[in-house]
Amino acid sequence: MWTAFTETLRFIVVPLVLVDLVTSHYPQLATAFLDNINSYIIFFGGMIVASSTLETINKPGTYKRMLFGLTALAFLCLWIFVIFGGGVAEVKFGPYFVRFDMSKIVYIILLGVSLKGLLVVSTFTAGRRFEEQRERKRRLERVKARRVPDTTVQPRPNPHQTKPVFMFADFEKTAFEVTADDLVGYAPSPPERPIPKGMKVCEICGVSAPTKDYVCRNCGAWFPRESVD
Amino acid sequence: MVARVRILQISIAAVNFVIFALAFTSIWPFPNGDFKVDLPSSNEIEWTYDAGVVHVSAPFSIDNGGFYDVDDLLLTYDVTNYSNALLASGRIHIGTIPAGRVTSDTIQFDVPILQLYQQGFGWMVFNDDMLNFVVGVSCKYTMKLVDFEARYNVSVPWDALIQQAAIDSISQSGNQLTVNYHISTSSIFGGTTTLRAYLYSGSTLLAQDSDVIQLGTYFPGSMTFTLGSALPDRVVFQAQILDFPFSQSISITPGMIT
Repeated sequence: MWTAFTETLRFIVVPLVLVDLVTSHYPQLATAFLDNINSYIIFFGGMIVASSTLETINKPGTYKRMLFGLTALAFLCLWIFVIFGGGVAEVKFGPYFVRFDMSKIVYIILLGVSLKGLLVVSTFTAGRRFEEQRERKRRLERVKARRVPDTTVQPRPNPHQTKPVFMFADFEKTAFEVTADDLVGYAPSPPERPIPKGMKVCEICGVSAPTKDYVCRNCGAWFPRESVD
Repeated sequence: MVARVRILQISIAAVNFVIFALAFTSIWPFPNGDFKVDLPSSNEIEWTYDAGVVHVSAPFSIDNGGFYDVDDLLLTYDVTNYSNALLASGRIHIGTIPAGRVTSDTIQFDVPILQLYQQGFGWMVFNDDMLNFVVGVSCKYTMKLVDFEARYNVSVPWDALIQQAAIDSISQSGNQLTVNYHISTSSIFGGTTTLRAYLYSGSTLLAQDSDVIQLGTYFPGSMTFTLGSALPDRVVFQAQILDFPFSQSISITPGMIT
């Protein structure tokens, strides 16, 4: 909801106010889309808001999130193109006529904006890898949990089994020497930096965030459910 | 992984910052008035006449106070009269103006007025007109990424070369008839010429006289004729004003003679 609100302000409300100011102060200004500029802003701005909201709703690493992120970017490019009138502006006042053709600059701006697509894709791949790692870890833990017997539950005596399979009494006693850890190359890991109370660290980008957050404000990655207060 | 995302973010931010700087420095000089084109106004245009040709010169200056060089600067002009006949057209290729420099030059062109007159387009010789100057400037800016084009439309009044010859008053004293007249010619003319006046009654020539008149100004003069019994009903003025033969007939009614 917060994303929808901020994106509405950024791409609909503020541009409409600015365009109104410009057109009321410079009525001589003419661009390719100026006649219906408000409709264009509302349409493309609305699409940006919808796509961005759907992007943040989905978890990082999902195809949906990447798709909506790229869609928002595409609409953002169209929105910029329309706002700048394709880069061509004409001003006619009295005997003067002035025409600026900055379409090449607009194309460079669009190229710069499109670079954010790399970030969307990068977040997708990073999030996907993280999810895969977490899934693998979860699977391992599940396997481990299956291997370690639960001591609290008493095994049922098997009436057909007269003798247990493993008996400590059957093992041979052998003397052995306990080697120091540092002799076999073990180095203790540096102490972890203490995380302030009420904060947690994003596993994707490493930025600290309040524990109440569901989504990282820096990279947009979802926090694990158990980490949210 | 974290480092990769961070580097990507920083790279994108750096690229976008450069693009923003490029766009800003491209646009800013125009609304801020750092890039100025001073095109000639109607009172800055100079007119001279020589051997049947009107020479026109109009100064202009272009101030490139922006951040980048102005490239491919081209100045064009078209001059048409009120009836949209093309009198002159041309292009001045100025080229490049480095950032922070001002260039000044003059638009110069000729109107072959005598040639036009001989071809039957003599309107501008004897009548006022309105010349329409369309001066255009086109150039490229910011390493040729921005195309700029400006057009300026100015109408300049054209005073007829030979504006008026008229009788102010006619007085009679006995058989002497004095005709007070004036003749106006354009200020681009200079020198003197001879004005001849013929008094007619019907098709009969009653008397004639001549006077030396000053060109390029409003010239008042008078001529005295000795008449017989008949009174004239028209006077014909004739003169060779530089390259243009001039003839005008003015009716004289009895009420004009005092």
